[in-house]
Amino acid sequence: MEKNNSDSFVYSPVGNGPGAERAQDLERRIRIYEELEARGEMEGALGFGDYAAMLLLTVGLVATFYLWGY
Amino acid sequence: MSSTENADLRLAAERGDAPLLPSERMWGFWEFTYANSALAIATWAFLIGGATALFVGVKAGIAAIVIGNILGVLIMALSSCIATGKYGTEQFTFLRSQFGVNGSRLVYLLAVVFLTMGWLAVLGLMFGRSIDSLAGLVGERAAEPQGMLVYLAAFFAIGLTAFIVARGPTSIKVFNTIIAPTLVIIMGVMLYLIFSNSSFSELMALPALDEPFENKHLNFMIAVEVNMAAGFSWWPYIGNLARLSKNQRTAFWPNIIGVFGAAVLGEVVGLLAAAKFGDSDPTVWMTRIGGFAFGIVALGFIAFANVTSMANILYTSIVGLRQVVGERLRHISWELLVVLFCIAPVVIVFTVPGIYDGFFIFLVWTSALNSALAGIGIADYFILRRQRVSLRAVFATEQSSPFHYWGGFNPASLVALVAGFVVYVLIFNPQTLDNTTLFAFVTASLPSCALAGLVHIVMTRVLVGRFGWGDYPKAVEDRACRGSLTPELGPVAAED
Repeated sequence: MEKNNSDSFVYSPVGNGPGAERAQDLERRIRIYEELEARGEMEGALGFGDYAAMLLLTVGLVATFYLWGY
Repeated sequence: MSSTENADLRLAAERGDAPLLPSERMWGFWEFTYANSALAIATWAFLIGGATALFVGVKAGIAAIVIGNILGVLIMALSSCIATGKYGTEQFTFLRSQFGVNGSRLVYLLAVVFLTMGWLAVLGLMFGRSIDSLAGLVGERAAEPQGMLVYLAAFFAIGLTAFIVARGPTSIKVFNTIIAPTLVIIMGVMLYLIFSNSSFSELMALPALDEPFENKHLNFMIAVEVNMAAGFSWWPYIGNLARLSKNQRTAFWPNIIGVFGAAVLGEVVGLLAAAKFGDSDPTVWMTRIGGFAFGIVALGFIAFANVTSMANILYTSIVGLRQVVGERLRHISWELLVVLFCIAPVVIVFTVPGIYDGFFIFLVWTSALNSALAGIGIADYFILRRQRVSLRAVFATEQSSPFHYWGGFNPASLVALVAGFVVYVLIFNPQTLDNTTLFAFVTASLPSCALAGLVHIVMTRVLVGRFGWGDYPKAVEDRACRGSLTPELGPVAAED
């Protein structure tokens, strides 16, 4: 998988202020998504079949209704 | 960490401060479908159907409704739902990747703040007119569209919407789950009643009410454009609802059943009724379709369907507002923010009630903006980023974010946005209906969308990638830098 520049960034919340907990939570959430994406385990991700179905549905509806209605 | 703190953090994520995890997202396929249906089924759908009847006859009108909506909804959903459905991020926070930290604020102001305030006023006034017609039906008096009852009812609708949204997305979910299926049933009954009084061939043969041009093909394309504008009009809102659905697939496909299917159903009902009764106002023809009792029930439900739409767009707008303005606004309570946001629509209702009558023009103008935004979104996410965006970059502080671009604005996407908007208006002027030859073949939204996407790609590869802005994949930067120039001003140090 091609890497983005910011893959090497580390979001590092510092301090003990009221925002620290929120920052830690954000870091946890980002890591979960990074791990899911790295493992290719994004459940319910759209695939080739979905995009093909979108295309067929759209072209089919446009062509059918244009020929029928106009 | 205590359970209270956990709940607070989850609530903050729910309101857009952080990406929602898949396990936290509350909407499955059918729940998101209900939410979408509730969005689509409002009196505006009937009015769009009625407006379509002005340009074309019933048969061509049905075709225009289906064609315009499927194209608009598909492009709109591809640009706004796929990424937010994948990462669970708030839509306008995610837009930092496309427009920059400050650019996303500008887009929010243009596409959401003004638009939502206008929509809340329009839908509130529709609610008011429905209630006025209802009162007229019961009291056996003529409707008074400019009467005080309309304005007071509109004020009530905005207040009720604020109350629902202040209670959070759970109450919206409950509202959607009850109202949406009921409205689908009511529309089915309306269709049955329309068809039971006339034959299919009679209805299909009904002519246009007020064709603006002699050229029937041109009238047909205007009808398609109007319906495409309706599909695109959900761009500012759907992304923040899609992030509440469990995954990418459940974030996308319900739009086809909900927004597309329900809108088509409502617009076809509006088209048939307008053509048959010669009046596009649903508050008028509803009383004629099924008699007194059905008229009361239908008007009541349609009035409250407006409130579901208002609640959905208000919720998503405030979630976005909290993100784009930043920390200062997060210290204001959610409830107070909801109330403050609703002040302007109330003022509009009482001072500019004509916005209701200009609804049709208002809708098509929004498409000049939304179609370009959708084109940029698809080009950026699918072509330039190949469906992978770093959440670290999205949530990094402003100065350190690779999405800081140039003073917080991405020049590529902003130029593309202006180009798309200008091309739209040059091809088709929503105010005057003036159009070029190109419009009769490809509408105005499609070229606007395509051009905005193309300009964004070219400018990103030529300019943005060269400076190392925007955290684009290495291939984009390498392509930009191939040749004589090297990145000199890139604020992001590529360390890998």
